[in-house]
Amino acid sequence: MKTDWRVVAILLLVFTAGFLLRVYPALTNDFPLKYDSYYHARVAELVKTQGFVAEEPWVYGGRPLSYPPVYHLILAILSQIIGASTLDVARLLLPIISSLSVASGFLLVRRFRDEKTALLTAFFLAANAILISSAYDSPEVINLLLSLVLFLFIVKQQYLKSSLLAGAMFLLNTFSASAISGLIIIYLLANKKGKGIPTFLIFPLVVFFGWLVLRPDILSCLENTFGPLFVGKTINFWTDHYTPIVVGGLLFVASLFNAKKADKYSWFWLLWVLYFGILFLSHYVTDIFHPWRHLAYLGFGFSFLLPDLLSGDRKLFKLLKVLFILVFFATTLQIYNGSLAPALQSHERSAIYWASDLKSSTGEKPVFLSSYVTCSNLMTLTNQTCVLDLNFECIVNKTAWFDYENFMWNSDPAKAKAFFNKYSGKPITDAIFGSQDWGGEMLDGFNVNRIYTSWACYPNNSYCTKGTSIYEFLK
Amino acid sequence: MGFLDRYPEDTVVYSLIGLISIFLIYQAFSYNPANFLQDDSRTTEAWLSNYPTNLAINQNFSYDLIINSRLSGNSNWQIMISYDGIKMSESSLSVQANNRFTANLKGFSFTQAGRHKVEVEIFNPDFSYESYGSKYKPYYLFFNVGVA
Repeated sequence: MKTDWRVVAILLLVFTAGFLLRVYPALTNDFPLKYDSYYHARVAELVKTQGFVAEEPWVYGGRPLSYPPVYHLILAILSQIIGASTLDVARLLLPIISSLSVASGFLLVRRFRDEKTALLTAFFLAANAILISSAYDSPEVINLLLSLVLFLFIVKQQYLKSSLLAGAMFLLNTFSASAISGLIIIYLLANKKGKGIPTFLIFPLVVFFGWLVLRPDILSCLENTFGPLFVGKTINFWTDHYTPIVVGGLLFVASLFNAKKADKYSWFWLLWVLYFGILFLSHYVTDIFHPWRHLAYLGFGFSFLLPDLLSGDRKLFKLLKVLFILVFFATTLQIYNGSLAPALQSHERSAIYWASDLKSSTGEKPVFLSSYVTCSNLMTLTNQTCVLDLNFECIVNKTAWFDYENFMWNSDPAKAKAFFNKYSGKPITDAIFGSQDWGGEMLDGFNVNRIYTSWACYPNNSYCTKGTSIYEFLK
Repeated sequence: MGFLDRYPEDTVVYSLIGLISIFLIYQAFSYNPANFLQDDSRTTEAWLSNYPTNLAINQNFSYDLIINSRLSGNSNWQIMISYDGIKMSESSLSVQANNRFTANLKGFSFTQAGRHKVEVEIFNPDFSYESYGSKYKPYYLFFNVGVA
């Protein structure tokens, strides 16, 4: 294929934009931008210092370490090689990998379509608000990138290679590997290539059952109806639902109109959007899946399906290309202006560091109660003990965990007291309420001392945050 | 031939993607953690230290209020102290830029047995107390003390 140098030059600009949009926010923050990376950095540190352990330390005596090992191993090895902390590696690795999908997407689409469509895909991957905002916390980002190679293997009917890759993806992140493997199976069945399915499944099954033989206790982690119960409270209809329902629906219907000339490439992305759209909608009837996760998969699918649809020869598509380029541009600007907020504000982090020196009245290490985000930061940054944590799999005492979570979420003192009194025998000595948490003041009515507060005023004192406070529980 | 037939699609799409990408590169550098309340130099911390847990009737007590300022300029603070909800004293203090100030608050005793609450409110006198509203609430700390 003859190279169009205009395309190469613009691709370089697109890649640079996609790279900087993801990596610059990670570089300018001293800590990982999003919540889950604190958890992953802590486990990676555990792997680095103690090797693979069966349990994460936790206030109730440890909980099974259920997360697949490869991501933590990568963080630990890179940290060892570079000499940076696991926290710093976790801060930068995923946004860098996410930006690689821009170049990989271009190469994949060029193989099946043409450079124009490939360039449009690269742009939709680079300036994609959903992908940018989800490029900071989960190794699913790596599996999204690998799914492009997986698709290539499947199309070339290289089922053993695809099986090996899917097995490796299982060791990075179970949910994304399972979901993408499910999609591949449906795709093979739809293309009457069902004979390839047994070969494709060899390594994912070997990995899954091998892991189960080594760690049968993680079976208890499969029951995951707990976390999304309160995760669901944070889902906002207009910001999080219009994308899969409205955009996905329109895109899907429009693609079906084009389906007559659709080939295996088009059908793959059509199925992708339909499949992850259904998974997203499933959260209305089951709590098994975290709904916000599917947005990243949908955003990824949109970036491929949309340029493919617009590469059709209808005249209207010529104008729609401009419209969608502007829409992606506008939503990316919106992300930069409002949604790439770090997990904790800096004065909240000050509270965490202050808490790191605290000792309980008996001189022992205190046990903190805080929101799961603050708890996870506290445990990762200061090695203190906290009741809640990120990663909702394998929670040992789910009832207590859920009650404490509700304690943090509600602002009704009577309810809060009922939650707390239920577990008064537990050794909680201090509580941290971040300025973003609800109802910190309700603790004033408890048997407590409010011993610390921090706040910040931005800019020119035009706005001052609520105080982040630390309470000491009295016997 | 209509407009769409003469429309220079490649030129328009390539130019648009190229120009937007250049703008997005510029935009990427506009990311500032301070816009997301990430700026240590705007933080003030306050905490209590050396406060008593038990006292005898009429026993004088003292405690420390520490204000740790990470602000780039000097800051003035008004401190109001109340005992069992009754405001008893008000004082002002100034904390230098990026500095820590320890106020030893003393000179009070409780005359009745029981449980008493000592509360310290900290606010910026640059804003009138009446105008606190939702924007400039005083920040506060408290401890309980048993008197027997």
